[in-house]
Amino acid sequence: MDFNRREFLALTGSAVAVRFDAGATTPDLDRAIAVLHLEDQGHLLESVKGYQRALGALGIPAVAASESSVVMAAYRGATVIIEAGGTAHDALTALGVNAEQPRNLWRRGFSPAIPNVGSAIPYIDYSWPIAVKVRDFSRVVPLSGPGWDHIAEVDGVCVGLTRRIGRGRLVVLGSPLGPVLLGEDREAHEWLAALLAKERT
Amino acid sequence: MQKSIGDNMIPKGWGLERGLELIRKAGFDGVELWLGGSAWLQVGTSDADVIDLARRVKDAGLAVSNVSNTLDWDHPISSRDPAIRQLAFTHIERQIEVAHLVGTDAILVVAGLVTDEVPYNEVYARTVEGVKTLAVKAGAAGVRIGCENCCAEQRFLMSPREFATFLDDVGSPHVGIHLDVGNIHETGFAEQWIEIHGPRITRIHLKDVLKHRGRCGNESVYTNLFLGDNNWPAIRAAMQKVRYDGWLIAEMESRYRHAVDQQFYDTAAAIDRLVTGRL
Repeated sequence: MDFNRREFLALTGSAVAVRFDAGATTPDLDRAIAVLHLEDQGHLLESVKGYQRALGALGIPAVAASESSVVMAAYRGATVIIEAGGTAHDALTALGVNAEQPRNLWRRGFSPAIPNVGSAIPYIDYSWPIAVKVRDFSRVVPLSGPGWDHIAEVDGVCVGLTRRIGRGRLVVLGSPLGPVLLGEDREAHEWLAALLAKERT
Repeated sequence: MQKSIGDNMIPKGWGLERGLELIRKAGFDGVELWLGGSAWLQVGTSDADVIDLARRVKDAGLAVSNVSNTLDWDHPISSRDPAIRQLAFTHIERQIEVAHLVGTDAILVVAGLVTDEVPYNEVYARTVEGVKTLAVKAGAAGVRIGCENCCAEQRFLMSPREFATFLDDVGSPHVGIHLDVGNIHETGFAEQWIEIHGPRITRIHLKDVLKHRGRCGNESVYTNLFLGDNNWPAIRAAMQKVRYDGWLIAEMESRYRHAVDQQFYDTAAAIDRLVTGRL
């Protein structure tokens, strides 16, 4: 990765981190997961609550953590999920991720294949770590970036990326999963559980 | 997914063999048997005659998708009258037996009926207990009880979360929801019911609904596929989301005034288009 840790730290000032299963001073975070939600329009709290509830149901306690522990978490073995919002793209740029302006899935014009009333729900199609359809959360941030693997799309537009970093993994989501977890979307819970199972074995 | 249609749709006077032949020729894979709804399947029909019925269905090149009943409305398990409740248990237990005999793993029941005389809370408690009891027999027979969402007609379990709570309270793997996408009317969206219930869906009933008619008059709100207000692309996508791959069972009203058999062909073709996404 060609981003500077200090720069990334500075750019994630509004992020909220949730850390699990590891003490702040533990150097090995193989069993940790961190969530950064880069959104400032009211979805942050719902997202964090969604992850907390979902992970709690999996028996993984959630505790607040410092931003620095999250930033280093991936290097030290954690899985870090970054939910891209519409106003914090600099942080993603630092990661080598290009995030376009959010697109409203429920307004005509996103794509001819995603029309309005009387059409299919624009589910997010995840292809990794398992193939599932997850309910959209009204808008998506199209994502791209060299060296990143595509893991989710809606109507052919990539809205999810992942790559290894250090001993851990970064996952960038252009469609917030936390609020959908809070909404009890079954397949969203399956996806998160599969991610944890894959990264924790 | 496989297509089915009820034997109660067979035109009057056609008889079983001719009706089954029509169902097969129209392109269906199976038939839904309605206990109490035809001459060939009543509560008193013997095991031997049920087995013979299964043979006639098989000989016609069809399978039995599920066994439903027409009796719950007159004999609900939520009745205050113990004698009525016993009648309900009798016909539902017979449904389970019939399902086992004809080789299908699902039955449909309309569980619970709220009236001006029998209030909601009373119906809820009695229905949960009744279905719990029936679930034991269903499990032993390898059959799942699908409680249908008749929503407005039952005046019961009218939201998907409420229905989920009901299933939670029953708490049996042998009980789920027989989801009718035409029964949701103006109170919600069928695709959201599908998302919420997912693996607890035992079977899906297909029909369309004219939401603007509401439930205020005598005019039916139901119509044939694609003529109403259901969002079929969304319903299809939701079935894919929850990986529903089971039977799709047409439950229509017989609306054709002429060429009554044409409804079978039209319905089978509509289901094909739903399944293949040509919408």
